[in-house]
Amino acid sequence: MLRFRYLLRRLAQAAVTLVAVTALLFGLLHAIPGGPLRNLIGESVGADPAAAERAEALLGLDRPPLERYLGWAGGLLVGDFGASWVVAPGRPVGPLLLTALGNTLVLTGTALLLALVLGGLVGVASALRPGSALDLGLGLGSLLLGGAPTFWLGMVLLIVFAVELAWLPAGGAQTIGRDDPLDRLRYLVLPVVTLAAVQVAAWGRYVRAALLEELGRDHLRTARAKGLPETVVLLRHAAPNALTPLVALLSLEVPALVAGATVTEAVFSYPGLGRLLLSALRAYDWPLVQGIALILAVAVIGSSLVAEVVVAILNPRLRA
Amino acid sequence: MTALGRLVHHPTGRVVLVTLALLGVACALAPVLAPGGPEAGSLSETLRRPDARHWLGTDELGRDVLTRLLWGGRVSLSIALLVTVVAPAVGTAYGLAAAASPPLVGEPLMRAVDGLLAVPRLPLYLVLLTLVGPGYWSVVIVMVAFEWPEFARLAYIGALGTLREPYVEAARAQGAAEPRILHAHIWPGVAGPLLVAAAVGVRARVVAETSLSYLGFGIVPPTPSWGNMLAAAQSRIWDYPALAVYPGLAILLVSVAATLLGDALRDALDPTTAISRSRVSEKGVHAHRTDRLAA
Repeated sequence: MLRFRYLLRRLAQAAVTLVAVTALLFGLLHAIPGGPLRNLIGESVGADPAAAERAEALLGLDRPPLERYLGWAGGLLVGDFGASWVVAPGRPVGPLLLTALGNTLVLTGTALLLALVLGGLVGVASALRPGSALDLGLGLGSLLLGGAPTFWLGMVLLIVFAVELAWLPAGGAQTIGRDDPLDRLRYLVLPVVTLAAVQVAAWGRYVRAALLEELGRDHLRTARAKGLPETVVLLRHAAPNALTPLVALLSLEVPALVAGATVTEAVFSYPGLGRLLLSALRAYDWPLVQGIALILAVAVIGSSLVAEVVVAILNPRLRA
Repeated sequence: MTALGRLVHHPTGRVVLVTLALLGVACALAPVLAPGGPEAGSLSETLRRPDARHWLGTDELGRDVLTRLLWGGRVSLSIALLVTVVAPAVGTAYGLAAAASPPLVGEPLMRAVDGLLAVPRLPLYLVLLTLVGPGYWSVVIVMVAFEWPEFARLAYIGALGTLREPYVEAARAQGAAEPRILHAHIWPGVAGPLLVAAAVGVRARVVAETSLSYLGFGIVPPTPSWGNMLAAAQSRIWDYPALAVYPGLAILLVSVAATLLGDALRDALDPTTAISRSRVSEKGVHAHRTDRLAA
């Protein structure tokens, strides 16, 4: 019962935070001197006051801010995100967001998976032989890849594989007019590799450090001393402890899954949420910006809530 | 030996310090070394290969690439430096104040910090820069606004930990005044991690500014930044990809040097232990967290 009440309280807190965050952003976007309309059509607002008034009425900007926010929030409850102003004039924001979010999750999910598998392998291998060539390579790789900005890494890959070798397409998500998975895969390779490269080094280093720390513990010496084979020592005795903090780190990745690819998407003109945010901001398309911000806020608040609840279920001491 | 002395005698520390100093001086002296300014160029000399007059060639508007690298470095490095000085200062003051206040005040203050730390930074930087407009000071202010919480957190945790130490209790029992306790007893324990975090964060700051400028929300042309130079270079990758090499290498050089400097600083401030395995693990987790948050 306690657990249920706790969950309910955390949910309520999360909802309040979400409302506060969206209201704050709404206020910021609409508080610019001159109002949103001035951004959209510039100084010509003053040229034809009647036309400006008609435009304001059309976009609903003639109503007071609080009424507009409540209208927007009320629409959300029935799945209506409002209509885009500039990027796709008049079209509902919801489907635009859904398509972009899908594209982004395919990109970031694949990259995270690749980084976890490769990083895990490299991390384990280098933890088992500290000081080996692979271990030193991991150190150097994480230093260089961690230092290179994502967009430059992407450009270098673009120059090598799209320009010089012409093996892969330079940007986009699919060849226009074609809709088969194999074609989409070709467009995914470079962005996924760019995004994964930085993470492989980070995860590799993390797994290496966690495992090395674990391998020095007493219970592993006991396991070895009683004659267990090395694979059993590693998998049954070292891995579970070493992996526990990894789960906590993974929960930090959820917002990055949604928002972490903005720069990569820009480099490769990949039609994801990050690139949609860039176009929406450049065009001052506030309904679109609000929709993207909402998805981000839900991802951030939701993932921390889920992580906290999972931890609380696992560890009752933290629940008081 | 002081921490600075140990840093200078640290094998990588020395090399890295010299590298960063040379680069910094070269960029700071851009008005002397390249008095023509970053915007001088001739449209009859576009996209030239490197020669005796233009050591790294010219860009798509006939401007000298080396000149623009120096002037761009002035912008990119000075922004990183400014944020590296201001954000830790603000954060430390806030964190220490929160630690010194009663928990009823201090804990809500830190709750706000936790909230700010949870925000994915790049999207927020983009939204705020759209609202305040691009430019040098916009970038500095927006970055400081979301960099200080990390230092507030470090200062708060460090100070709270030290406040409970018996020797602080002893100093208080002897009648030492609060400012004296803060300065002589708390600060030495807090300063080390803050300095290391400030140094390690240089990498993320350079990457953040160049990313924002690359996307067109930070430093906008004609003022050069290593980021917007790369944006311009990307439009020419089909006919002159070499343009994309130099600014990227410059960023890489600075961020690798800053990372190594942070490691060396950590060793210099904590000379009793060699690089232990557990410390490597902390470093790994920390680097990972800051990477993801910066993204």
